[in-house]
Amino acid sequence: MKLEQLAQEIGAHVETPAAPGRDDIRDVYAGDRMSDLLGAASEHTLLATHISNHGLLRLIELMDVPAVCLVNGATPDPMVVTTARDAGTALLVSPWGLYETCGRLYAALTSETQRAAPS
Amino acid sequence: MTEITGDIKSGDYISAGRASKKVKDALKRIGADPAAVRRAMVAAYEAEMNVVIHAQDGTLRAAVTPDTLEVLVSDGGPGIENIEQAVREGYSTAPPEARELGFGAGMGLPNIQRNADRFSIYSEVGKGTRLHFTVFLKAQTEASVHASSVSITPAECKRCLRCLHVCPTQAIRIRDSAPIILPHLCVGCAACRAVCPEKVYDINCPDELPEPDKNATLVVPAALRGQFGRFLSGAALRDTLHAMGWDTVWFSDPWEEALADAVTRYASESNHAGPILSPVCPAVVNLIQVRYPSLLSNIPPFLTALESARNSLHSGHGVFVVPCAAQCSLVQEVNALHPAVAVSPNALLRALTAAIKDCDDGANPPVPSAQEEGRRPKVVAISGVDRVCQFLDEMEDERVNDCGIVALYACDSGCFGAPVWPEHPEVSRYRSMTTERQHHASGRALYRPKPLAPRAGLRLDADMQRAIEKLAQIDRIRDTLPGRDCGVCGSPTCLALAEDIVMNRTDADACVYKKQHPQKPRQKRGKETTS
Repeated sequence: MKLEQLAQEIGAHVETPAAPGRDDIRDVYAGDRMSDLLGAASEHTLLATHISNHGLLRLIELMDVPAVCLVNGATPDPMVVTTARDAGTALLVSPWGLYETCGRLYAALTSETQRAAPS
Repeated sequence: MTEITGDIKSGDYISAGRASKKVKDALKRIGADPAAVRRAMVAAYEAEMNVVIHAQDGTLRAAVTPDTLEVLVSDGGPGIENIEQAVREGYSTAPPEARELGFGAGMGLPNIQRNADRFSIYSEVGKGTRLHFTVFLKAQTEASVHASSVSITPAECKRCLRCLHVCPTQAIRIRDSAPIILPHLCVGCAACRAVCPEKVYDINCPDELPEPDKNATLVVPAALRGQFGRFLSGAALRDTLHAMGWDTVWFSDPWEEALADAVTRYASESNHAGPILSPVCPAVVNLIQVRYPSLLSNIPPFLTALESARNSLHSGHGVFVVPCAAQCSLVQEVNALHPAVAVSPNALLRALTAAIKDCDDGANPPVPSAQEEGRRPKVVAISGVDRVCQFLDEMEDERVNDCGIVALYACDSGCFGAPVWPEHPEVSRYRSMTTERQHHASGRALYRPKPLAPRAGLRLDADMQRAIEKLAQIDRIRDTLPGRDCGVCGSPTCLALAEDIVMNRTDADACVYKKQHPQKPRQKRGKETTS
């Protein structure tokens, strides 16, 4: 699903947009352990996390993930925003907690696959 | 080649990752595959974080070549007490401040291991840890991974076919009166060389010793000491090499002993069922990967002695005197950070023979004390490719379930029997005997955290459907062949010939017997001919 559309469906605010051609989200990984997030990164994975510090900055800088979604309406550090913009990683902020954010992401992505399946 | 270095500060969570970022920028500039970059970054960042969280300050050094990324992360301590425990998932000794930042889940080393193509770690408590990993930036082609280190001098070949029948993996073909080697099958044992009366086969490495230089470490096999017609102590030989300009000399025995000790410890700690195949001989390790992959789990997770020595080179480069092709391949594996060259023992033997004459050390070999002899449990040693294969066949059929630790050597009489050595193996073993403890380089056995994988064969065809058709075709052709496995056609067996025909490696009418007896196929089914 296109990132713009996904953000809209879950009601998240787009802090920095996705880089052109890197906005196709196929799965989501949520977690707060850095090793897990690193291991889950792929070119189609959105990472949802509480981590909002220098670890997050490196995650964006090093892993080339298409999008990271912060939760609980967290305000990202200006340095993280700049890094995300430079890296071409979309930075979303969801007003919901991690549980509800994931629920909404799951619903949005599965309903799209179901729509796509019959054709 | 580009080299990148970065400092890592202990406890500096803010800068952590900067060195990895530098590596990433370099990889991006050369246009490396994004998936490979991602793997490299997981490994590099985790390695960097390990230093930030656990160690004194350290450094990251990386070398980028078009095909590989090598990274070495070293720190100044405190070292890891139990590496096997540290590489286990979920094990962590990270402090709370690291855990708050999302680290310390005990996934760091396992994550590096999973994402790197080669990985080794060496740690000494109180001194520090050296972590070395490689990421292949391109999918490796068959030939680049398994280049054979056997060289061939075609002009000498008399077509006696002896090599054809001793090769344990049927890697040799005789074409146009000269042998060729199928590199994906060659395991680098010296069976062909040992049996060849004309010296067609040799080790594919320079025959000239490079100029000695200060930054070089010369690594020589223990068997070298026994090649001079009399007993020569390690110290005497070392002095002679020093006089020739080689300041740093490592003999292989401390590394071999360290491996033996590590395997003994492993055997006593694990309740492994069945024989434990100590990785003493790289050719046998290759052989198991090619021909006995089901036995790979019987090899303890240590590197061979030569690999441990190679990966322990801290600075400068290594010059390895290699007695066989398998060792030569290990030395020549891509390792841009610590370049190592392999040279033939002939070069060193020539250079030493003159110098050793004046060396007075004509004492008799020391008699090892009973205590020394009984230091390690008895190991079943089996040598010679045919004996080794016989044992592995029996093991695969589950006919051997005891034996404890088994040391398998491809050469008759082990490394002392490598065909390159001029002296009788047992005589040189006697002469090389030493009780002197090595002070210059204490050997160690490095852990092989990435398990050995079976060596993928060459597929009959990239397309599975066509591969199946080719398999059927091979069976059909095999049935038309006499089944004498004579080797006159140049392929070691009739089945190998059938495969060679289907794979266009030889002519369809290569079988001499068939030409002479066109009406006599082996079986009724074989009426169809292939020509």
